[in-house]
Amino acid sequence: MPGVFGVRWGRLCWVLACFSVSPVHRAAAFGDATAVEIVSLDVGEGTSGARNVAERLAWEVRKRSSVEPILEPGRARVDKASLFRSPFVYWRGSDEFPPLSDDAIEGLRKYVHRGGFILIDDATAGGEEFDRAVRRELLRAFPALPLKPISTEHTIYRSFYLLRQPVGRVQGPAFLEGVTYGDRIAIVYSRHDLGGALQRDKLGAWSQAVVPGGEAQRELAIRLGVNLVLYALCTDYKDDQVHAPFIMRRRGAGR
Amino acid sequence: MADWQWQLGISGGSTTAWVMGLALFALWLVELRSIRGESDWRRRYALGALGGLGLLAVYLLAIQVTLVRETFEEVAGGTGILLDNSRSMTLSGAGGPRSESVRALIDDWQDDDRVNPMVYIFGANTRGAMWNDLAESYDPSDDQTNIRDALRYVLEKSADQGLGSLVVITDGADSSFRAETLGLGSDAPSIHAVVVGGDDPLDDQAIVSLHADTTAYVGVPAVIRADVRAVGDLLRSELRVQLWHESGLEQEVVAVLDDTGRGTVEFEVTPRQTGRALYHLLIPAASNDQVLQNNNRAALLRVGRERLRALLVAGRPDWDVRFLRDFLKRDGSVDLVSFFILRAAADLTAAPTNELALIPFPTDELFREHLGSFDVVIFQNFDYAPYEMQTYLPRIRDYVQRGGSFIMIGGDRSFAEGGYAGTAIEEILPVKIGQAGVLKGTYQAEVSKRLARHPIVALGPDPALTRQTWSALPALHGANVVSAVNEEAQVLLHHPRARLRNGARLPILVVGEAGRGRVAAMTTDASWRWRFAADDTTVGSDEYELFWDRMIRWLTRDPLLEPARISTDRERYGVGGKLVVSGRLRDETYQPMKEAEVELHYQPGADDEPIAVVRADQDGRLKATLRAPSEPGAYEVVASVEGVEVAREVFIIEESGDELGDLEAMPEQLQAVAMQTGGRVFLGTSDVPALSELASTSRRAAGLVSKQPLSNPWFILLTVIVLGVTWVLRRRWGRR
Repeated sequence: MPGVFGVRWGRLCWVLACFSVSPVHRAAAFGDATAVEIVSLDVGEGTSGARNVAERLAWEVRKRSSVEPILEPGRARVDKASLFRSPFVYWRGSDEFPPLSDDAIEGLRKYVHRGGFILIDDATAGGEEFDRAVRRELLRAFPALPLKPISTEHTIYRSFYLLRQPVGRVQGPAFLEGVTYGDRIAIVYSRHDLGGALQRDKLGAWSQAVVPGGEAQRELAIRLGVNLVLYALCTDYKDDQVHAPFIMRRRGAGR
Repeated sequence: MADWQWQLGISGGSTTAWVMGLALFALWLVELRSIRGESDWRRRYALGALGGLGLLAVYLLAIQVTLVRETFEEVAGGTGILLDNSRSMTLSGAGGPRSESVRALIDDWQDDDRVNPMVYIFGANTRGAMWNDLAESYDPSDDQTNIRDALRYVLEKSADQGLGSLVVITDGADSSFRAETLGLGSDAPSIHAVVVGGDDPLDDQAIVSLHADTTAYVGVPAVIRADVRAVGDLLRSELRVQLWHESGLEQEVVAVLDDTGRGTVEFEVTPRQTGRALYHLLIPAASNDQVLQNNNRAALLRVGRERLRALLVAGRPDWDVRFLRDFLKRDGSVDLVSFFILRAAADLTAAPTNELALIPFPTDELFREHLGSFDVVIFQNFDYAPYEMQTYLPRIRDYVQRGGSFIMIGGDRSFAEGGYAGTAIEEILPVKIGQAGVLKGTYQAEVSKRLARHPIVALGPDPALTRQTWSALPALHGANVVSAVNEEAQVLLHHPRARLRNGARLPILVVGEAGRGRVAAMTTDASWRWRFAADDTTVGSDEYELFWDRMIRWLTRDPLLEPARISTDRERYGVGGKLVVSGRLRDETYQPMKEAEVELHYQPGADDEPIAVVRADQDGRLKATLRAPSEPGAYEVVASVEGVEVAREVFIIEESGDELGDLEAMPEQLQAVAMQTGGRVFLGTSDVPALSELASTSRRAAGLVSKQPLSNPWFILLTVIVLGVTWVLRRRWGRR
């Protein structure tokens, strides 16, 4: 079967899969300043637990993929230079929050323009306060780039795992929403309490029950988290032509 | 009357005339109103008409209608000769070479010493020549015939020199010449034309001109288009055109010619490899074809890739990988193939393979089958060992040494940490890897003073601003430590404090050559910080893109980034034509080669002696005029300084060239010029009279002549009579 740039993929069977032979790499790189860090964003009240989620997500990503995030990520404020600590920030909330300052709005714009990625996670199960405030502030920051549902065909659903729909601690809507900036999605908004499915207590037990799917749903939520981190790092890498035949085949087999 | 123009003599011109005309018309209307009570309609009409006539006569007298004409006078003027010096004048007809006919004509004219003309010769340009030795020195060799420019040049000169008569001696083989484009005025000298060979038309099939994309791409069809022409007895013969490439006949077509014997043929070619591709178009010679030189022409295609093909291999996703890939993907001139290792052996995906979007790493296909198709290979924090790539490393080395390019970007899986010490990769890298080691901490990369003009790091218009820009960029973090820098390599960026064991600054970016390829070693994985930083640290997003754009282009030998470049004024020349080489030379540190002695050679060339030796100026710029090689073919002009080649440029020598492509004389355009200026046209040289007969006077402006046809006593008397009769009748018929 002909593949991309003439590669006959059928002849690749004997080529060892990259993920089957790569050794463990846990050595620190050149320090935390350039490492992958899932920074939690402090915006108003109701953000407690965000750092715990960021840590758990970092741990899951490190355990499951070759990415080596910092396991004790830091925090950032939207109106401070600390926002630029990392191109990935996790913004979790459950309550209404006051309008952001003009500096903070400008900071959000620059952050996205310079390549940053924001994962917004509504920790309420369908509450309106945080949702209303988030939409208000995003509209202020990106009036020409409204939040739109992300198709389940988007790379986010195959950046590492093959997923069919978003889930979190709750089942939530059948789609994620996002702000597309240029040719990438720069802001992803989940109303599934994604972090709730990842949170653990100090003893390592899951903090919250996942409904209605139980542990299977929790695993899918973790996979979605991993995919979002990989998407932020690789953007549309999985859309490259070379990946298409494999992914199409596996998706077809799974149906 | 055709030369007369009318004017108004009244002060204020047409404005005053309009005002006065309207006023008199109003007055006439008042008069008409005053007689409307007249019961006899005959009287009413008579008074109205006479009043109108009187006012009209007054109006014509008042506006002073004036007729003006410019006059000229004949004065004795100088005589000029404009002689065609193009190669087509060397062709032979039934009466022998055209140039011989010209020499004989000039010899005859020189016997008559009553005229001592100013002489100009023309071809690619027009210049003066001596009359006394014109016959002996006449050696037509120019690669172009441009009658219009030559005539314009001489006519401009004639304005100062009082030229009264100009004799153009040419074969008229300039299909672009049109008489009306000269814009000849009434003061132009008489222009006579001697159309050499005009009485002796050629039998010829020719490739008149060739049009081909100078740049073509591998696998993309390119078009070579040729205008062909047949004249004389060959007008009705079949005209076949063949396309030859690498000594093989590839295509053949029969041209469809119009009534004038002209036509166009097209060939579509698809280059299969990069480099230069030479194609020949050939018209098989008919037995009676009098000019065989124009049956064969060449097209040279510089074949590149439509887009640069880059292979980016990353050991794992991180921000450095993400920002570089995003940049390369956005760059429309880059065709990027990227492979990231997303999962290591010990990673616990908690999912079966069919739930993962992971694919095998096609090492064999990439590094054995398709390696040569890439223009640049990028290893970004990538270690080869886990993927059993040992056997591919020598292939990558060979690929680079054959002309590919390679860059290794730092990280904890690069250089010594990636196990590259002692491998074939180390053989091509511009650094010695040595023992593993990394440097941590924040620092500001500094540009090497000597290399601040190097395009990869030249972020400012001059070295001072470049260093200032670098000092303002966001800081870097960490670096791979190498043991040494290769002798020929160039350290473009270095650590501000850390040093190697030999005392040299720790390199951050080193570039160099490996065989025919180029390589770079960048020991940091933090260049993405130039793209992503807060305002309190100067953001270098533009600099990030400029840096990586230049990096990729320099590695892949973008001609615009080469330190030394030369070019020729044209791409193709006729045998022995005039060839102008110009360029700018800089050394490997991009400093101008001030006043360097530059040897210019042709390749292939007959011997090792340079064609010319020229000296560059203070900026390293050079310009030289050379005689083109005497044998047809594809050549390169090579510039060397102190025996070392610094630049080269390719060109084609054709036996024909554009000059011999279209030999059809077009006497009708010269006839039009002669008719406009009172000159004569002679087809052939046999009936041309003595030069003194063609030397004539010239016309010059002698002033203006004017007259006012209405300003005469009879018209004034007529006006008075009309007005008087009107007055008398009004009184007699009881009006005031």
